[in-house]
Amino acid sequence: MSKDFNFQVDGDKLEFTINTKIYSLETIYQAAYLFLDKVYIFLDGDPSKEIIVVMKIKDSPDNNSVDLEKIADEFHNELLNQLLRAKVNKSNAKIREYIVAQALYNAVPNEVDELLEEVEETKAENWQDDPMNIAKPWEGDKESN
Amino acid sequence: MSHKPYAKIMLDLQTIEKFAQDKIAYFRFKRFEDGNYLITNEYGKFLWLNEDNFKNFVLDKLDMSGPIYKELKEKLFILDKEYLGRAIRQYAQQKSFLKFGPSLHIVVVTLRCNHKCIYCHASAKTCEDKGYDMDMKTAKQTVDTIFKTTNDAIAIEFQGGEPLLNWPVIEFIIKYAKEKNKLENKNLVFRLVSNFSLLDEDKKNFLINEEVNFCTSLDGDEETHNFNRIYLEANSYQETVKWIKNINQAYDDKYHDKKRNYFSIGALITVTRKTLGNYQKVIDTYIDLGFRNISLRYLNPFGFAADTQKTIWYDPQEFIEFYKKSLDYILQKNIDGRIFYESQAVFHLRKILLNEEPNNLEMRSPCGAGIGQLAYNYNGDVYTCDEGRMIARMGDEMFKLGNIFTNNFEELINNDLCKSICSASCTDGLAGYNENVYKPYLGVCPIYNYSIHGNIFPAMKTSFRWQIDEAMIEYLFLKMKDKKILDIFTEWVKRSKPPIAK
Repeated sequence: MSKDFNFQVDGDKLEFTINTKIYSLETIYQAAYLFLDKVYIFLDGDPSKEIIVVMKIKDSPDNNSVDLEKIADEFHNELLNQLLRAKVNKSNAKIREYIVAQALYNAVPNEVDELLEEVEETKAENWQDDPMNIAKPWEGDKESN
Repeated sequence: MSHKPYAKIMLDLQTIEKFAQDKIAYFRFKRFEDGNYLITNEYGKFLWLNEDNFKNFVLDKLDMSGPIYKELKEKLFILDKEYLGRAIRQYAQQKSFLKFGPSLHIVVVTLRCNHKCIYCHASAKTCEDKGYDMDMKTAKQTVDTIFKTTNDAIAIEFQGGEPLLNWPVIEFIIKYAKEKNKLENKNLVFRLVSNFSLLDEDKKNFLINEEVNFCTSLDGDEETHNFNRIYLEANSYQETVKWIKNINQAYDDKYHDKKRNYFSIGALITVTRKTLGNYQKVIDTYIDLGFRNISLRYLNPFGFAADTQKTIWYDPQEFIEFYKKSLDYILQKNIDGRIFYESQAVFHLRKILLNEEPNNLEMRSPCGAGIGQLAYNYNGDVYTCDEGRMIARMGDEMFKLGNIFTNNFEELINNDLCKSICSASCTDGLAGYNENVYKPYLGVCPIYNYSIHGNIFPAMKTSFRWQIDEAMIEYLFLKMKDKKILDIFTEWVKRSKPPIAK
């Protein structure tokens, strides 16, 4: 039996929470993006526990028929869509970058196996390592000073 | 408040957690109301899967010897040993247009016009206004600049205003470019975009002998056309139709082989609010005049005043309804035996069925502004594209790349503006596109976004243009589920001209 889904509707506002142990912030942002044409979206809360989503219907003649309960349902379905998309994105990120780089530099390979090996090596090297702290936000340093 | 979760839920969390990440290649998807999924990938390949097959696909539990798995593999949805090489080749082929440089060169020989069209995109000057014609010196320098392109194909398109108001310059450019091409040996073609009202037999014969392609504006039946295209000196519709028939007869007399098919008059329709209710009459007019296609373009928000906007503008949903009804009407004509296609659909279908970037440069990713086309104004100013110079006519020089007298070709192309437009139209980097199932088929016009939203980078979901494009593409996919319609679309793609420009 599935758990009930809790939300509050107050006039033109809708509020509900999302468990960030299940849905990453990226997933929540991407799902939220798809509702920009219908509602204003405000995100708040503690990213390590839960995100509070507040939606307010846009003041537009096209939005007279916006049903906030339905939007709440659709948002949760969209979270699942985005969760799968995030997984597909993550697992294919390096190979996609490699394909674009090879294609645009005109280096069509003769030996596919060789290239696959190269991709595997790249995976192993973990190019996202940041030994020089280049990716570290400077705002953080400021705060700690 | 609380209630049970939405009943028509897609995959559950457990299934998503078990996604077969080492077996499944990158794909995009959308679930439809009937429970079927459309999946697409970077290479423009697509497949419909029912709920069970989609779940088994995600989990890599499909029967590997079955037809669905084989099709998925063939269409690059499965990571196998051949995937990488095939994917690289396919992507390289799709994006090959990036290597060539501008091929479409729009030459605005005058800003003057003898029509006062209610939607005038070019903010034309009246016939009496002086100082808005290209002179011979500028014409020569324009041709010299055009021939600096790295592309082997050059299409010179004469636009205005009404270009025939500056006939000597048109004649000069054609002769000079052909002379120059004896050395350059480019694939050189010319196109005249005109309302035909100033055409005469001598001009027509010259243009036909020089193999110049004709393109005109025909907004449909007489009532609709003359409502949109105001011409005080005569009946605009009757003038245009007279010359369409005359030129077609001249082609019939001159060509008796396959070349006759190549030379046909192109006609452009601009859909205004007036057109929406008259769609059947508009389409019938095109068919009766012997056209092989119609191009149902939505309005560009360039060049007209705010009060005019109320008379002719529509919201995306109104246009989408119009388009669907029109496409259905055209499809019925095809079912009844008349091959007649809708060009905007064909632009999308060439991407969907042939994985080919279309000749319509604003549907490419990145778009053709600067890297595929350039627009040369009467005074030698150069813009990223026709839309860029239209914005300039409204007093905003945002998209001016330079001037032919002060900048060399490299300076015109290799600059921050050109690069910014490329970035803003590369759908791979735009918010909302990467997750969209139709991303491989969508294009972006940064200038359109700038004029509507004040920003070359759009908020996709609120974009007028995006809403229409997505709805059009989705309608094509839904229609294609019917084998009979797929056959018609395949025939349209075959019959539409292959791209000339690279």
